[in-house]
Order: sequence, then structure tokens, then C-alpha cells
Amino acid sequence: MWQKILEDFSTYPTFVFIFLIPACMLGIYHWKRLPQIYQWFVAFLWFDLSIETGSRVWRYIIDKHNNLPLLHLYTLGELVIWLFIYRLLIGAGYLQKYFWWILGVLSVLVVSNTIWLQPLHTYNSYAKTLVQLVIILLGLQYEFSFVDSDPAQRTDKSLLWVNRGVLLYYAGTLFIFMFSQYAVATWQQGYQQLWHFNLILNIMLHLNILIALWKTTRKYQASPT
Amino acid sequence: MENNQEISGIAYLVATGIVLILLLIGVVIIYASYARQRILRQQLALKEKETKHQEELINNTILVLEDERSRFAKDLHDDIGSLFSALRLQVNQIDIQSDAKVKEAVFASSDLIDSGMRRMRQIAHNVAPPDLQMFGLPDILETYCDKQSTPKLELSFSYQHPYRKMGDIEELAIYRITQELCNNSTRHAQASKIRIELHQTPANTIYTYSDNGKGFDFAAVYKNPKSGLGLRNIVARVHHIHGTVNWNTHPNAGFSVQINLPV
Repeated sequence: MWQKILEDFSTYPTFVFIFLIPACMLGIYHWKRLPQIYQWFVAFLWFDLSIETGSRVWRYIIDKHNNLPLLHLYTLGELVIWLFIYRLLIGAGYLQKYFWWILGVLSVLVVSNTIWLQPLHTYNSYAKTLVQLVIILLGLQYEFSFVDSDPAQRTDKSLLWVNRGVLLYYAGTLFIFMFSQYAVATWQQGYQQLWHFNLILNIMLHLNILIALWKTTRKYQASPT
Repeated sequence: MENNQEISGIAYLVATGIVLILLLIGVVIIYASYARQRILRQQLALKEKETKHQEELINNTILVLEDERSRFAKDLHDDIGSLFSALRLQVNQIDIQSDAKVKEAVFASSDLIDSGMRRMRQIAHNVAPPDLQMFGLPDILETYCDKQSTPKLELSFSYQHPYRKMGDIEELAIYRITQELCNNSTRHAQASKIRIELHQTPANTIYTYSDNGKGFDFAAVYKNPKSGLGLRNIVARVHHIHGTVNWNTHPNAGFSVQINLPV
């Protein structure tokens, strides 16, 4: 069994680990010195790493054919983490004012989808699409809020590049997840190609986060305490 | 057959969706970048305008200040100077043969008057802006060094021939900075030697001032609101003429400063 898990880890969809693991390590090593926003990125990376690892282990320990319950968990987790991240990024405004309402309502919708519409062992395309749309809208808002902000506050361009990675990933994979439930029944073989595209965008997102983290930790090492 | 059509329909839909949304996001990112650059350019232009306005204000202030100093020096020389001259004439007319005490008092008064006149001329000369257009900075600094030199203080000045003239504002700033630095060297550093150099390259004029005084902790003095005023004035003057300044001093290690002015 362990040999099979290791074989699975050696296939190319696991390329994302090449960027994910160093970013996680870097983040945890510098955790105390990182600004709050980067601590949330690190939290996202560790959550991602747990789900990625869990999904591979799941197949050999719990269910050989289906690890989709982890996708349901991942959808809820990414919603919560990205909402907290954009709350810090965007600052004052409706997100700050109605944050707990937005978080509560969206979480209830995601969980309700799992309970009543798309059960644990199927693709949660409705919830996933909703979460992706929310993240895309928040990403766009941040992109434009960066335009209007005071130049003195625009010193951290790494955050902008992470946001662009987020926009590309979630926009590029929106339709893949939107049709995942439908395609899995009719077009499973061909849909695999699209998952590879998802992988490329996912790697780009993690690479952006890794670079941003690396630049931030270097900045904090260089500056006197 | 029907299944294949359905699959190609989904494939087409998903592929088109991906391409469209990525294009849309790309356009949004490019537009946001462009807008950001445009705003940044506008803000830069505004800042440049403000800086230019500030520079004009400072220039005018300096000109007014120098005019006022010139008027003050002239008044001092003409009014108080003539009063001193008249007073000496009066004192000289006193019959000193009459009494030894009177004779002594007259000589003492005459000495005081001469001393007062010398001091007054010195103050008037220091306050008045030098005639940079007629003599040029090297001559002015040379004369200044000669006048300030005493048996206890040796001032030397050297410069590179031929001297390329700078603007009047720049030269006046260097002259005023020299006055401030000499004042510091004599009053605070107890220096016995001061060296001033003016060196020019095709791109810059480099002014170097050094003394063998007791030096000081630059950061501590500069931050001090009272003692650092002169140093901060020098920095302000250098920035005003778009120069850079490098300080080099430590306690008991003398003092030197280099001012670099671009052409």
C-alpha cells in the first residue's frame, strides 16, 4: 500500500509539491516575523498541503475510487481562508462591515450544497463555482483598490502578484469545476486533460505565493530589528 | 454518436469559457496596471510641480535674505561707521596735554573706537553677500581663509585650475556653508588647522572641508534639536542646490565633509 502511495506521489500531478513544500517550510520557519497577511498565506499553504497529501493517502486507506469528500472540505476551507485574506487586503468597506455575515451565509450555502444537493462522494460543482466566483470578485476588487491606494502604501508588490496568481487560477479553473459533475459522467477521459491545465495554474499560484513569501522573509532579514 | 456530440459540446463550452474568462481577467489586469501607471505619472508630475514651487520659494527666500543682509551691512558700515569716525574725531580734539588721567582716558577711548570700527567692518563683511560675479568662488574663499587665519588657526584653500564657474546660488551656498563650518571648527571643535578643497570633474564639483578638531558623534549631534541646527541647515542648503553630502567625523578623530554638486 505504501509503495502505491509513493508511486502516486511520483506522478506528475504531484509537481505542485515542488513549490508547496518549500513554501510551507519557509512560512513556518519565519512564522513569527511574518506580517499577518503572510501568516494567512502560510495557513492556506498548509491547508492545501494537508488536503493534497490527504487526497493521496485517502485513496489507499479509506476509499480506493473516491476521495471527493476532501474536495468538499477543501472548498469550505479555501472559502474561509481567502475571505480572511481579502478582508486584510481590501481593508475598510463592505467586506469589513459585513464580514461575519458573508462568511456565515457562504459557509452555510457550501455545507447545504453538500447535505442536500451534491453529496460527499460527488463533485460539489455548485459550491465550488460559487466560492471561485466570490474569490475572483474579491481579487478584482483588490486589483482596483490597488490602483486608487496611496503610492506610499503600494510598497508590497508581491501581494499584487499573488492576487494575479489567484485571479488566473480561479478564473482559469472556474469552468473546469463548473462542469466537473456533468463531465465525470460523460467525458471522464477527455476531462483529465483539463485537470492538467488546472495543475499548471495551481503551480503558478503556488509559485507566486512562494516568491512573495521568499521576498518578504528576505526583506525582514535585511532590515534591522 | 449522440454521446460524442454531447462530449464535444461540453469540451467546446468549457474551452471557450476558459479562454474567455482568462482573456477577461487579462484585460482587467492590463487595464488596472495601465490605470495605476497613469495615476502614478499624474502624481509624479504633481509632486514635481510642488517641488519646483518649493524650490522657487526657497530661492526667493534666499534672495530676500541676502538682500536684507546686504542692506544691513551697508547700514552698519555707513551709519554706525560714520558715527564711529565722528566720535574718534571728537575724542582726538580733546586736549590731552591738560591732565595725565585725561590723556590716559583719551588713548583708551581711541583704542576702543578703533577696535569697535574693526569689529563692525568685520561683521558687515561677514553679513554682506560676497560679490561672486566679480571675483568668483575660489577668490572669495581664498580671501575668506586669509582673513580668518590667525596664529592659532591655519586655514588653507586649494582648487583645481581652471575653475568652471557654478551658478550664483550654488556658489553662495558653498560660501555660507564654509562660514558655518569654520564657525563650528573654531567655536566647538578647537581646531588649529582647516583645509578646504574644490575639485571639479566633467560631471561634478566636489567641495571638501576638513579640520583637525576634536570631532563629535555625528548622529547624536544631528538629531539634537539645538546643537544640530547648523548641520541641518547645511544639509538643507546642499539639498536645495541638488547636491549630496557625506559626513565623516567621530569623537577625537577630526571632522571632514564632502559635498558633491552635479553640473
